[in-house]
Amino acid sequence: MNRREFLKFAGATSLAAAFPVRSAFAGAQPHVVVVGGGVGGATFAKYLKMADKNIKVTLIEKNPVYIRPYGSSEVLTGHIQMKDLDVTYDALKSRYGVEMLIDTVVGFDPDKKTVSTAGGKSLAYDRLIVSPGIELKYEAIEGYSEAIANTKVPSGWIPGAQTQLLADQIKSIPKGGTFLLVAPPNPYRCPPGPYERSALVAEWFKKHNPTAKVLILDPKDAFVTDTTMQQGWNRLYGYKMPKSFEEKFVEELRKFKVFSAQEGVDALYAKGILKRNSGPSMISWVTGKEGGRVLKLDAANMTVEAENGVHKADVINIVPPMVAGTIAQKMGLTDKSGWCPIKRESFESTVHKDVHVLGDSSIADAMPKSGFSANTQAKVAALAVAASLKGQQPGIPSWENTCYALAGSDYGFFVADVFALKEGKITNVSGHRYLPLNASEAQIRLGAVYQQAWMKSFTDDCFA
Amino acid sequence: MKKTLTLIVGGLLAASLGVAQAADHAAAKAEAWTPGALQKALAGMPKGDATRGKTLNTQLMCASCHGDVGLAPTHNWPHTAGQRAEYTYKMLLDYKSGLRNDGERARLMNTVAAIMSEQDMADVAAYYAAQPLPAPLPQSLPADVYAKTDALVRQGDPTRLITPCAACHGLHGQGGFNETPALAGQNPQAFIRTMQAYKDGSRHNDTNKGMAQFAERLTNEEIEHLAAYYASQVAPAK
Amino acid sequence: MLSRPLLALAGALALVVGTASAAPIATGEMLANSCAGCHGTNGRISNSAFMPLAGMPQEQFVRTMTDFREGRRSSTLMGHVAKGYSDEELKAMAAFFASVKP
Ligand SMILES: Cc1cc2nc3c(=O)[nH]c(=O)nc-3n(C[C@H](O)[C@H](O)[C@H](O)COP(=O)(O)OP(=O)(O)OC[C@H]3O[C@@H](n4cnc5c(N)ncnc54)[C@H](O)[C@@H]3O)c2cc1C
Ligand code: HEC
Ligand code: HEC
Ligand code: HEC
Repeated sequence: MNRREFLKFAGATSLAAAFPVRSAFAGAQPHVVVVGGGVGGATFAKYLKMADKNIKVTLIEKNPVYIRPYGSSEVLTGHIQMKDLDVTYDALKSRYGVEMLIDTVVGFDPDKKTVSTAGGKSLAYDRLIVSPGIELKYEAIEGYSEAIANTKVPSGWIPGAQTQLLADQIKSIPKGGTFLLVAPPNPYRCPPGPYERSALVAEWFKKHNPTAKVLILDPKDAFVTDTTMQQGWNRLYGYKMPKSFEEKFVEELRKFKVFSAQEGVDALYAKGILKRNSGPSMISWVTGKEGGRVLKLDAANMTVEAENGVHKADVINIVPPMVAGTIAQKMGLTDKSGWCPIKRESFESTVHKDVHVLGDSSIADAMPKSGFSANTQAKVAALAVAASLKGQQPGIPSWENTCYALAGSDYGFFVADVFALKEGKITNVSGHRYLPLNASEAQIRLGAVYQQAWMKSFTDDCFA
Repeated sequence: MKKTLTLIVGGLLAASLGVAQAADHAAAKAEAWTPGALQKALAGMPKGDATRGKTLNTQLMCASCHGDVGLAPTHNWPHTAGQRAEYTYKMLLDYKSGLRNDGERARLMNTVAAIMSEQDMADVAAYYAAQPLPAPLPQSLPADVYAKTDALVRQGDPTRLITPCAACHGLHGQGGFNETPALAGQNPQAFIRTMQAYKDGSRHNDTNKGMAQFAERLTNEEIEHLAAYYASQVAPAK
Repeated sequence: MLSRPLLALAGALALVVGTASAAPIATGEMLANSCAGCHGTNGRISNSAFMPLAGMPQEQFVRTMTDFREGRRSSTLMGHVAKGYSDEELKAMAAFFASVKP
């Protein structure tokens, strides 16, 4: 649908859209409208109010309560419940004076600078912020659809009823059964996420169903935290390290002078960096090279056809390919990759003036699609918007990302980056990103404590 | 006692330590000390090896938070330098069993203590005890407040049934018998935090409320003054 | 809510210090915002495994961040984070955090 058609469609949904009401304070008090009250949108609204409380900020979000995606895999193991994922907008309203509108944005006129909602409202903006998260492309896998995801083969990558369905399914897997996870192609939300989910399910099996198995089918040959995550699988779930990764381990340990040039693969096992597992592994990871790319789902028979053959499972969890949130596409903010190009120092869209795109939907060079990224992008954008409303240029930006990940409930690690603008691109300026492969038991256990602490401190920084 | 303790700890680990629930979980399991049980545990404290303790202080990450010699790198953590070995040892037992679980920060300690043996605990305790107490901070209280605080420390307050702090902790805060800790030079923020934790009941690892009963009767202001007072004390050389 | 103008001022002052060296740097406020996801908004947090940074004396902050960066203070994570900042940037953040009431 091109923009003109879309506007027509939006107009038809709501009569009011034809008569946008200008903010009473227009001119005197600038109005910033935020679409999507997830990590990016909420953080932006809070930090813009902190930067200048005289700016009127309206946050439009379709759900009255936010269900946080980060940490949602912990529901699958019963470590937390669905209700623990709920985050309210109370503090944004009462403490920061953000105006909340629970409604769905359906229309947009970049010339008149208005957006309209399913509920029939039209809002004029001076700056528009769009942080709608992702849209899952269920249909990219033959035989898969949103309807099947809601009833039989959940995804849960946008948390909600599918997350609960998956949790219930995992508990009812027969003894010795199989949990099959289909990992997505790049780029996708939360790079370590599918593999952390696999580990947490394996940990649950270890306690409640010790002969059950986790099978990961993957179109990729590598993922963020692949060394430290596999090390955790190796130590906890009988996983055998693939040869190519043994060599990667040796290379890294030599680089950091933990290993001498003489020490090789044998030293990995002699020094306890890895365990020699002889029994069956609870986790198998089939990479793209090995034929892990999935072509087809047969939900009726609970089988998945991958390039290396057909796999039967008791529970299938598919993380399908994804693109920018639907509304960002409809607004014409995406390029042919399906994601939204932006100017780095302000996250203003390169397509529409005075419109900024944050979080998963944006194209942010080396920054992964994560909550932490969305949060620091929102802060950079808030300072840039506050400056630009005063007629000033955005300041020098700085971003950070840390994705904490678990291989078990007391086995934590991370990927961490500090980012700066270098030669026009968002670039890592902090070097090595991972917990060292020779990290001590104390570091790994503390990593898990910090992972849990982060869920709270981070939610507070975004929403409270 | 040793046996019960192992059992308790076993229970904690079986609950898979936990990150989110461990401390609460352990609280239910960890048994409070009786004077007899504590005396036995302290009498059974292995002989500490300070040299090995120094290595453990680095290996187990203690140094990251408490410093290479037990002097905390910032105002956020308690100093452990110069502390009585019995106190350090008892705290590590209590963190491991989950008896000391006074909040999210204590979880850091529950997590590291969980992987320590009693020998490890005695060794780090010996290492800290071999260090001098932290250097005093400059005395910052107005003269009249200092005098009032000094009176509270040395004479207590019979009207509120507060025994003089000095009777147990020593005249200069150098520490007393067994597990009664040194207070001289302690970081005031850590001092205040722990006194508040005694007061609101979240720190309850002391035997028979031997310490909490006094904290409960102090005002917040008195606690702040006591923190500044003890931070500025110079204990006699050991 | 906190008075941002004061903070912004601290940031601006830090920027002046920063520009003494070759490359211009981000303000203390901009840099410090990156830390808030763990250490709390403006470095304020209580009863958390993460420590507050608000009100930390500048000398303590700069010394310990430099120790993290150079590997003199062991860590799980902060050694990585600290490597992303220059001395000038650490000073700018130090000024920012010291100016926030804990
Ligand atoms: C299992 C899992 C684990 C994760 N773990 C981590 C982690 O440990 N660390 C980390 O940093 N990140 C993690 N993430 C990723 C993180 O949750 C996302 O990257 C982050 O939420 C992205 O923020 P956002 O603002 O782009 O989108 P979202 O947070 O998804 O917010 C988008 C919001 O927009 C609303 N919206 C969409 N369209 C409209 C419309 N038309 N009108 C009104 N409202 C609309 C939606 O309802 C939603 O509330 C994890 C994700 C998953 C799935
Ligand atoms: C990640 C930071 C961290 C690490 C690592 C750490 N500690 Fe602690 N430690 C703390 C904190 C925070 C407290 C105060 C906790 C509380 O409020 O209960 C504490 C308290 C203590 C206490 C009690 C101090 C007092 O005055 O009551 C002792 C003793 C102690 N730690 C010893 C150790 C030893 C030994 C190690 C290493 C095996 C260690 N700590 C590792 C953070 C840490
Ligand atoms: C009857 C003896 C007694 C008296 C009196 C007493 N204490 Fe204590 N105090 C103790 C003991 C024993 C402990 C250690 C308790 C435990 O096992 O946790 C302690 C612990 C403490 C601690 C914790 C130290 C640390 O490093 O965390 C502080 C602070 C403290 N006392 C301050 C005081 C002050 C101030 C007073 C006077 C108002 C006082 N105490 C009076 C016996 C006493
Ligand atoms: C992803 C979480 C995370 C982020 C982001 C983060 N930190 Fe930390 N910080 C930690 C952890 C964990 C520790 C404890 C040391 C360790 O194990 O790394 C810590 C410790 C510290 C300390 C020492 C505190 C003390 O009292 O000893 C300082 C100072 C600090 N961080 C500053 C910063 C600054 C400045 C930033 C932003 C540039 C930042 N941190 C970003 C997690 C984080």
